[in-house]
Amino acid sequence: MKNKVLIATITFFFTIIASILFLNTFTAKTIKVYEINRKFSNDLILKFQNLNYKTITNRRARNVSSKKYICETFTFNNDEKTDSCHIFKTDYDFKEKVFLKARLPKNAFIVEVDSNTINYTINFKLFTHTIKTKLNHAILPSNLKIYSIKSLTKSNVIICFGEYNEKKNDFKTGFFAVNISSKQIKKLKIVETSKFSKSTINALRYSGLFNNSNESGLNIYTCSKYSKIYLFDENGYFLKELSTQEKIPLPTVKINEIGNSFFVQGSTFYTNKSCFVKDKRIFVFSDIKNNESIIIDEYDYLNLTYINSFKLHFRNLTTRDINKVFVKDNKVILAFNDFYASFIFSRYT
Amino acid sequence: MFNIDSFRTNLMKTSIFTQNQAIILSIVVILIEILIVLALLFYKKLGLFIFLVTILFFTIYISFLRFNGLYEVCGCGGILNGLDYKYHFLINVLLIISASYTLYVFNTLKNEK
Repeated sequence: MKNKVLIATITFFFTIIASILFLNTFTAKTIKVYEINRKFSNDLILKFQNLNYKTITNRRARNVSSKKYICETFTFNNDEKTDSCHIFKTDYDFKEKVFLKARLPKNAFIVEVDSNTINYTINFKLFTHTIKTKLNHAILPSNLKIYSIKSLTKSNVIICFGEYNEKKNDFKTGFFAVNISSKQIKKLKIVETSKFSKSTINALRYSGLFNNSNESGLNIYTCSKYSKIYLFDENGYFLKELSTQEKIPLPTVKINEIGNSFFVQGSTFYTNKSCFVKDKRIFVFSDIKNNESIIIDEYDYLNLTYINSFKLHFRNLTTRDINKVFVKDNKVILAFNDFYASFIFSRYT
Repeated sequence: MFNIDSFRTNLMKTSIFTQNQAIILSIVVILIEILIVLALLFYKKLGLFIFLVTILFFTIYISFLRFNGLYEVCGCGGILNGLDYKYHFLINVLLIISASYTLYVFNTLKNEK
């Protein structure tokens, strides 16, 4: 009897250990792997210029969009109804430096900072805070939910990525141009239509960022977990969409019992961080894998085909370490956690 | 226990468990953990044995996640939250070895007595 128990125990442990060894030696064939067959060029596409440390050093500080500035924000609890906000603005040469404080409603998520205003969202509604008067007001119609915005340089119009409830049971997810003065909404590019609101899901599925450039030019939205990049002209009109070579589909998002949405593992992959357009070429900061360096993929602007890729070796940092990309003329500034690295676009120099 | 919502969400993120299964499993896991603590206090050998079996099953679980490409970072909601797979696996292996060795020492001492 004692021997039988011993044999059963040994068999049990042996089976478990064999299973562990098997599961750690092999990989399931069903795993989706998205790879790019990259052709690497030896050209030094971005030439390092200088490094500037961030002013707001808190780990929770974020870089946010601005028409003219490189902007850092840090929001922290003030009282039951408000959050305090520290904002640091600097120009692209890091010479002009402005530090300001503001008090915003609780859970305000800053999306854009300009000379006189701070734009923020609460529950997908866009508000603006005027720095001088310290007043807050909603600036968009309530039937437009906002995920991301970009103010156009030369006009009173903002491009929004969000969900528009135009009619009953008609919810459109996509890009819209909104005139701040007249509140007129113009559809630019609809990516999805449904009979019910999918804002909590689509805010994650299409999560990404508009480009940050202080010159008038293209407005670009780069999805971070979907292989799509949407390009708009300087007036906000939709031009084209680029499907980057890895062709990663939309991620799966679930909602838990307390209403929080989250990405499902195994079907969610990082795609691209940001991009910029130079000399009829689109340069995409690719984030598809944890590479040993920053990877930039080059696509033709006219026919949207892949050309080649570049490795940017800088302090052992990878594309995933980049928080935001700022572009002005030939200057490309990469914002990392603690500092900004300025580069010169040096293709032909 | 203090971060049970995070634990449940991380179970659901794997896409293996539905919401209801994640709720039930999170409670079962906590009950097993309490049982192990009590057993270790009052019946050390039994407690060690349950701990060893539990950590073996937990290692199978994380290995299964890795095998199917579902492991990103540890999502237990506890002190190992955010840990890369290779370190998590290493910690589990060390726990298995130390629990096995302790059980062996227990048996040897008992036999000597």
